[in-house]
Amino acid sequence: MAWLTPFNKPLTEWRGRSVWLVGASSGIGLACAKALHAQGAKVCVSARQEALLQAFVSDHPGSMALALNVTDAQAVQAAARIVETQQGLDVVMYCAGVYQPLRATDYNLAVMEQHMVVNYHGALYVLDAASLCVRSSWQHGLAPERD
Amino acid sequence: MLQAFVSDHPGSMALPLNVTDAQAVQAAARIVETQQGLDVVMYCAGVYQPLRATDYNLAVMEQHMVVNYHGALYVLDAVLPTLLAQGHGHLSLVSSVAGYRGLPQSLAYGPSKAALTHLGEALYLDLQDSGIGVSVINPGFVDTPLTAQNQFTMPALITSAQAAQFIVQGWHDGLFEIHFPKRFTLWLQLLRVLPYRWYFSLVRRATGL
Repeated sequence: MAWLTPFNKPLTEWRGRSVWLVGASSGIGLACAKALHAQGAKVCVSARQEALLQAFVSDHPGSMALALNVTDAQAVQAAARIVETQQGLDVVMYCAGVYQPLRATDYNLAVMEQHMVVNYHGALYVLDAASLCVRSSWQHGLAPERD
Repeated sequence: MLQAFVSDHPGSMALPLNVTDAQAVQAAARIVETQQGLDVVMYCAGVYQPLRATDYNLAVMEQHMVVNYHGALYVLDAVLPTLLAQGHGHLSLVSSVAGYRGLPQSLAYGPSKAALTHLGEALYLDLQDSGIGVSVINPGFVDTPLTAQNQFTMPALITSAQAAQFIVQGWHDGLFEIHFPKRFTLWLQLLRVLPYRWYFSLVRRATGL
């Protein structure tokens, strides 16, 4: 039944799977990092605030942290290389985000741009870094063998 | 190109400008405001380059956002205070039906237009009580330099002169969304409300991508 098949290959087994969560120092990202660690995933958390990340790592043995500003494309690249080398890259979750209520009558260019840079351009940098990982691992014949 | 327009259209003026330069946009807005006043502002600057995720290119991704969206943010920054102070005016953003939902080959362009349309919707809600009109223009395929690079036969292609007529009529009718030609855009509006499963399947079948 084509109408009932899932959109994606279901992610059912998290044991040993490498997950990089970007924007995981609080909120949904942090909650997902905890949930996936509990399921046995190899978790790498990234965000700006290193202290919060280190607190996560202390509480979640086997996890790793990489402090990172998502608006710095080169830092994102460098972090992706480290995650890739140290634990591999199976699932990437982008949860970095800012929100500040704003109305057009109080238009503020800096706030407008900051939302785009963190909420969207940061994701573009992560995609750039992650797609490189996928390509280089294929080139070296190291495509993930699972499934 | 701008000077050629001015020569052919007496009484018009031209200001060369790179929309990605926020300070230049500010300076230009001040000149327009001083020399002829500011009643209607239309943002039609846009780039388009087909791109698929399998050929992901960060520079292309960012360029689309910078020209198609951030440029509009700079223009708003430059003109909103004036429009709010005078209590009248109209802002019109040229977006695209490609911003309705994700499409193949539209990895860079689609999100930039989705953001622009969303911006227009938020502006409309926020500015209604300030006496400032807002419209979003969603053209289908129009024969312009931007679409000339398309390799495929563009359905329901119209000329830019026809597009201008639709737009002027839309402003005349006080529309928020000005979309045309309807024989094309109405189908995309139908696709927009379909569940993802149907949408993805129909788009893959229609485009073969």
